[in-house]
Amino acid sequence: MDFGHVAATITGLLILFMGGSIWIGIALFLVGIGGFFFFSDVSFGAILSNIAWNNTNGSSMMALPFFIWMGEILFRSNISSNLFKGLSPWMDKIPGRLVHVNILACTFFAAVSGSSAATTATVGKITVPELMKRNYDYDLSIGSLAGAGTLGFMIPPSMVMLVYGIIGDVSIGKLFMAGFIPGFMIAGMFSGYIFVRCLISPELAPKGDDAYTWRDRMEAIPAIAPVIFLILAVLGSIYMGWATPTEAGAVGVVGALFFAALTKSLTWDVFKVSMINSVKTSCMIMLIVMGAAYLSNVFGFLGITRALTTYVIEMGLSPYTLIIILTVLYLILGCLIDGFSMIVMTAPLVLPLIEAAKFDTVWFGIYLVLMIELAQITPPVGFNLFVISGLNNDSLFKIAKAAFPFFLLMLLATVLITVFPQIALFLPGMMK
Amino acid sequence: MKKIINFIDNLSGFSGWVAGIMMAVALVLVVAEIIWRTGFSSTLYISDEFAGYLMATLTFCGLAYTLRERGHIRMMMLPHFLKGKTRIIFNMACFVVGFAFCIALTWFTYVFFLDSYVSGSKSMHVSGTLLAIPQFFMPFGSFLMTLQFLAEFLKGVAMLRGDTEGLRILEETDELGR
Amino acid sequence: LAKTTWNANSVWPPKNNHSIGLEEFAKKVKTATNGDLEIVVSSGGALGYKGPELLKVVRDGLVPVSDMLISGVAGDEKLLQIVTLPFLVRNFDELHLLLNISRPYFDKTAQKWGQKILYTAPWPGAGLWTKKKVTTLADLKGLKTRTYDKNGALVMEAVGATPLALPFSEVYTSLQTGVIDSVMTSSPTAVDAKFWEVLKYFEPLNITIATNMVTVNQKAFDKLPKAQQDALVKAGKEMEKSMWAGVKKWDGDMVAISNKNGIETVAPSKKLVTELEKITEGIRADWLKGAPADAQKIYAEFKKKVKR
Ligand code: NA
Ligand code: NA
Repeated sequence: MDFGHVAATITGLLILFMGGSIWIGIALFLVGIGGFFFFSDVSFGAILSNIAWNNTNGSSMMALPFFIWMGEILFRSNISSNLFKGLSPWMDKIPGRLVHVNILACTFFAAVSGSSAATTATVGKITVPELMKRNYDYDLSIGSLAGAGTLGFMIPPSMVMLVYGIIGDVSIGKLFMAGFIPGFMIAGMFSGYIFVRCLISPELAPKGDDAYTWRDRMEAIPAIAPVIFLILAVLGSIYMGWATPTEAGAVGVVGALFFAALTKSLTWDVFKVSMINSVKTSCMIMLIVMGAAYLSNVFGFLGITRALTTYVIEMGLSPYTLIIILTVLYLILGCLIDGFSMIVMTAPLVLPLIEAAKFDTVWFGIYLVLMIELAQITPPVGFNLFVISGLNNDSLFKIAKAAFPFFLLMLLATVLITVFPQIALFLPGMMK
Repeated sequence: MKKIINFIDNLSGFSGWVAGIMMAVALVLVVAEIIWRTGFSSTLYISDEFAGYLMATLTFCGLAYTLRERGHIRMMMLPHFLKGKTRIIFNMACFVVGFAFCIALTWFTYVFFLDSYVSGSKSMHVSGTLLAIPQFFMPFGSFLMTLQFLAEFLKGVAMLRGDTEGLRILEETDELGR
Repeated sequence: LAKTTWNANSVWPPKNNHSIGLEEFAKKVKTATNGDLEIVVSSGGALGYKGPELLKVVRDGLVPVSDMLISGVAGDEKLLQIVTLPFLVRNFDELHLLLNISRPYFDKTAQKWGQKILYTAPWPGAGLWTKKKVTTLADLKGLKTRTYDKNGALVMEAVGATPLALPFSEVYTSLQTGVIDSVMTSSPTAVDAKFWEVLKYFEPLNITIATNMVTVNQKAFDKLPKAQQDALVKAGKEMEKSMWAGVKKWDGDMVAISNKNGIETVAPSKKLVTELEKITEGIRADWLKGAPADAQKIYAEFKKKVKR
């Protein structure tokens, strides 16, 4: 089989179906079917139904609708607008104002959720309408959300690290420890960027009418309290050993219902609409998850990823060159396939060469998480873009363009972590 | 024709609610498991397994509803440049593609379900559930999505005729909406 | 002669012995057929399969060759569940005996599912990996143990512990946070998950000892020239021999790695094992009641041979 031919066909089909405005999940399925149809004699249909079942039947996937539902309840009750009223006096003096809430909230939720899509959806549901209402700069608000949402994978718990740890024979505990500092570092870089941008052009984050005093700030605390208690409840249920991270999503829904009731904003209508809307968002994401898994499966069956990575291995390169080439490879792959599939398909082939180049496998895990985070915000297949597009109906490319500065910041973080691996390895080194 | 369209719309709406109820059931199940385990050092045995089935069934039951509500996302570059009738016809062509895919999806998930049913495949967990039961919802949901694509196509026909009274017509917005 | 290329599926990581074995099998076949039959192994579940569906997957020829856990696919075929019965076999020799008795029946089952068993390969036995030391039956009471199937859950329930089904990906954090305090599994899995970071003791109880089988789609097999068929069968026989011969060393190596990293192996007393066998008698009897006649034959013959 000629891989150039295969790659050209698949790229052509992707452009045809995606560009032809076919629903993304279905387009991915169709490209996959095309791949099977043209280049193999296996029955594409039996694999299709198998993938559909294997990628929807799993309790850990339940975290997705739960965390989305929690966000919906917060969004539809007055808890989320309260959060903004409460945070405004606190953030008002910092250049960038409420845009920092995107970063702050994503960091908090990342510590609760193992998925970047769920983090983005939960936070975005609250922040996107509020920032738009206040006339904040589109690129800065949407871009920072897309970027910070990916922290869901870096700050533990993280589904990506679990998958990598099992496939690559790497300590999951150490991976989790290793994620903390890079996660906070990236959050800091994002906030720093927003700070500097808004210092130069304050109109990006318009000042409200009010002048806040410390008294206002103190009085605002009860408005923030429900969200803080909620995060404490979700985090607490995990760290007290009451619930697994998936089950904590359920704790979050119950907590959100409780606080909505407490603030007298839980009507039957809020309950119903939040429920049916989270069904809608979950189904949208799950159709794409299935399609992406199917397409990745075609790559697996046809040996495309294998051929691609083998080619890189055969060139025999210096460590830094290797990382640069891998980064380019992952950026290209990341445009086309989802992060999980990217690890599953490349790690077995890339890991031996990473070990040969004397890179630490825990460090490489953090690097891979970064690559997946980048893949989350590159079109045409980028899950954070899908999630945000589901929130505000904008085109993927418009969102991707807004996210581009944050994409560059994450690339900078990749450089920093490559040159100074201790950023990732310091904390796990403290473990016995 | 309008009767058919509205019937399908209502059917999808109904199954969307079924999906919502499944999510609520999963919530109750998971919370009950947390309470049983933490409070009474016991277990419901089935909560993890059934949460998985509920996730699969709610996904498939909600597909058609999500389509009806324009929840499935697509790239809107091309339709953005099209206006009026051309745009309606272009969208109808997309619905045909979606319809054709969903027929295949329905067929293959039906074969998959039937295979499980005939083989009597069971889960190896405590419940020993017949897998055909949750798997039934795959062809079921896919079939509803097939119908919904048909309904959307017919809505296009109605729009071309300029008679959409009494129909539920939603447009994807490509400007900042919602 | 036209060159044939087959995909072979393994859901285990590339460094797992079963994946390595499958690679070795592929190499043997390639050499024996002068490269005319090439088997490309995809490990780590890269082909999208999880495990329980593999009997059907090979039957439908979606992959011509796949490694599968016999107990994992037993939801499709009740006879195969005989290998999931707790405390039926006490060691590898007894497992080998059980598999030898079962093999003609398993072959027949495979045939029914349109495939042919090339070789079987055992796993190290499933024991308990715990935070607190377990030496008596009373120590088992109150444990919160992650189990992976019905019979594992029934065993833990029978001893007064709480069996919890969790996705494997959540086991590590659940041990850290205390959702569970023990795991029922074998030594390679414990090493894969670095259990020494969160657990202290290993009780090698051999609750069950799992076995894999590597099967080939019958139609694909029949299409091959006779020489290639023979090469497959011969390579399978060689693999079976080396996989069974290597399992004790594999188990020993994995336990040694765990020990080196701080896990203490707590060898169970004869008394404890006898008590566990007794307490789980009902589980085996219940299963046997609804089991196919062939399974009852296997069971009776095995019991006779081990004189229990
Ligand atoms: Na996280
Ligand atoms: Na991407």
